[in-house]
Amino acid sequence: MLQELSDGLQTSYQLWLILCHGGEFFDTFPADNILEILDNRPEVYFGTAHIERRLAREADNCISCRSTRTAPVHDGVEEDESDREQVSAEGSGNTSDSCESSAGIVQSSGVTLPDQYPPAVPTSLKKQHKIMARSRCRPSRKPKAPKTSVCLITLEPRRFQLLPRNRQRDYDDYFNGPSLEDMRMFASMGGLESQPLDWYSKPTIRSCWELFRDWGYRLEPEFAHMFACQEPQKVIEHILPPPSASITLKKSETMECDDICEMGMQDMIDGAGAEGSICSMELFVKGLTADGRWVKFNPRRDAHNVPPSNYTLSYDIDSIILTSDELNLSGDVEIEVLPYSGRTPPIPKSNHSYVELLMPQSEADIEAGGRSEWYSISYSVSSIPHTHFAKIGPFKITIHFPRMKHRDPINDRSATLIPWEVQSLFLVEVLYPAIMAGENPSTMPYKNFTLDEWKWKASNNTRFSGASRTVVVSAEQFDAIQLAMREIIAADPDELGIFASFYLLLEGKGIKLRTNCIIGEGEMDPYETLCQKIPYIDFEHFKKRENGQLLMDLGIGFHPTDDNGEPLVCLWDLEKLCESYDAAGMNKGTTHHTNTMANYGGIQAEMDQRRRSLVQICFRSSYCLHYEAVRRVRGGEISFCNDVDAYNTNSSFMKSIDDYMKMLNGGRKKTYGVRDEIRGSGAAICKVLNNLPSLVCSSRVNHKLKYLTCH
Amino acid sequence: MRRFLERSPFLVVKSEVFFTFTRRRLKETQNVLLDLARYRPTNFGISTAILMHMIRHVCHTPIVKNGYLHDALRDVRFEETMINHGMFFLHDLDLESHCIHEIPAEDPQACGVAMSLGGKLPRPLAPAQPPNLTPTGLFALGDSPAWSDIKAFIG
Repeated sequence: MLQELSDGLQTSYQLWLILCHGGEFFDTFPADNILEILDNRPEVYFGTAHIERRLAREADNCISCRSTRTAPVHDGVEEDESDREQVSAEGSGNTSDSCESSAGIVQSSGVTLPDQYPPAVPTSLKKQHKIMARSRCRPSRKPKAPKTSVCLITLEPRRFQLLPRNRQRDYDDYFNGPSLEDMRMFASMGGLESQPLDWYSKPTIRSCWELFRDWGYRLEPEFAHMFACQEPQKVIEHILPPPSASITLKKSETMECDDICEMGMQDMIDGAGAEGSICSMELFVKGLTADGRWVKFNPRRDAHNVPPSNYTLSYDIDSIILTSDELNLSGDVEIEVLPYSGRTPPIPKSNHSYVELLMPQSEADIEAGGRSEWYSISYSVSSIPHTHFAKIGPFKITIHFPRMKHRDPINDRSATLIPWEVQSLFLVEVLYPAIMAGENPSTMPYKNFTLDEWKWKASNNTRFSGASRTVVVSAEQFDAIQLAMREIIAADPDELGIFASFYLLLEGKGIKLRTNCIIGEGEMDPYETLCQKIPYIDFEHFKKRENGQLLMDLGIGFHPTDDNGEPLVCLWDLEKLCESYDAAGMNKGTTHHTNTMANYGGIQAEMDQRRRSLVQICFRSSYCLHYEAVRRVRGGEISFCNDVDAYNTNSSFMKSIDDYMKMLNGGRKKTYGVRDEIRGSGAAICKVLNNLPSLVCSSRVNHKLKYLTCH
Repeated sequence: MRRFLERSPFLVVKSEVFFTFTRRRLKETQNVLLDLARYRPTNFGISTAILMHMIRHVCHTPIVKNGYLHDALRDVRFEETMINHGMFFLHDLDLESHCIHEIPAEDPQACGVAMSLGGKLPRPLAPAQPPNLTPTGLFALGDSPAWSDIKAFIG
């Protein structure tokens, strides 16, 4: 209503101006101060955003609304503390384990200690709140080993390692916040509430302050930790585990049938005839030979034998993800001073990095006093509302606000793109004062601006504002800004509480060319190269558990060379690769088929959660490098025209095909190997890097690399 | 790692062969699409979606987002053909009738809407002249002889 009123005022004012310019005369003329308000946008004068925030907060605290939300969902669910059940986050391995109801109760004046955590999530809580089905209490969970089988590597179960607690001060505000029941605020959106009012044609549109509010999520000191403890377990064994031997026998069986013709790539090129002929189209698209037989495609007929010594094995660190509540850097940082304006958030899809969010308490737990519910859920960092924050070299830093995490009531998707109003509040009330707090008079003229002034300075012309504007601060100032931001937020929890519990995520992608090394050659490995070339990040510091979660991508490349200089292409054998993924305990993942070939392409998969926690490898991706010939911006992005262009056979369709043909033609003179990428903790990747040269060298000497020969 | 490499987890082929094959598959799929565009069967919308899916698949792994394409790929047995024949081939393509069998004879409404974005009517293309396969005074084996025919002719 408020927004509509404001918009209506503006529209009426614009209409009045047009009429006046058109020569209309009115008896009454607005006063100068009224005209000034209308000229400078009424929402700014009246503080509409502030009123909206207050209204949203009042709605949160409305006793009538709260009583509706706190009504029990399931009848017959008894609040019996004895029915607690030990359930793993993966939903397997249920074992009964009763506990004392008072075991984990902590009063608001105290600090949570590791021995005070409850042992399990009560079944009643899970039944009452669907969202709690995946919850767990990591500190008190019984250590369990991942499932074992003949092909899987056995691991020792380990208990989740806690960080030492500050006994004077809680890490986050655990005792003041919304309850689990408050999450049902928009549960009835499908009913009367979503219907248009009789005097208003549009359905209820929620103010961003109602959605981007404090939903009760909190952080524990170990929120960033994806793994159980500091040291990885059997990580070398999980790097490229071999497929079983039975596959080769199966592969050698050929299909013999009268109406089937086994053909390789060269066979098809030779047998197709002229390009564009019926015969050629039928062979390449329909898979029918000139003599009326169906094609059985077997690219092994084109296999090229490469001597074992003719392989170059390379390794590199391709990307870095660092999650921490405090980023201590050693170089100048560029801080973003304008709201993020992209169509998608800075991290639009999962980067296989997760944080553990502490779920809100239930109403019953709040009423009992203190807190006995310490249950958390692992969420992808991409599902948490975030925005850009800073840049340092090739790395981008985003700021994440877990308290505002929610699902959009209309489309039920995680709302991660923070509205401009909310971002503006953060910039004006938190970031700008924090930057200014550490400045001296000499730098003030360059940094002391309001949001509108920054927008004007960043704009290219009168119609379009710039998307990005940064101010440079030193490493010491950056540390001070982070501290000041927390203090500013803590000083005004009512207005700025939604920004509390923030954490920072530093992400650097595509740095493989900076860190690439040939295995067994040179004195430095990719990690040493990384530390040398990026001195402003202390990777040794962030490898330690108490300083956050460091993830690195280790890329291993296999590049063949022919004795006669013939350019070559490598293709992953999917059957063997799948076996290797299974042996490493990876999940099913996604299979990519090169050119619809059944058995050649790539695989991407995450590691099973329980195994990941111990081995400290979270993701593996294997792909063929011939993809680089047509890769433009980001992996997975397709540059072809739309279907509608092909339907209309317009110039976009013809051009996009011609462009790809040109790139593919260029590829004929180049060699493309294959690549395997492993994402794991800094400690795990460094352990692999230390061992990889000796593994490769010893295998070269002792086994003369006969395994590399393709028959 | 040694044992992993001993299992020959990848296949090596000549770049010339791989890229010529890839390029040819792309070109011939485009040629099929242009052939159908000349005759515009009543299910040309779905046919276009299938062929564009194949074109995108040459270099990428496209995600099927449209329901009608999902159904059409099931109709042409995309998964089964790919597994049984080592690669996906459009067995239901009929270049004599200039259409794809086994898919709905007419475009579903969702497909029609998707293919008419912009509201422009497609430009009609003139039917292509079939290649002359009979010997002429200029070309002994016709305009576009097959490579096998040339080899046999040369001896």
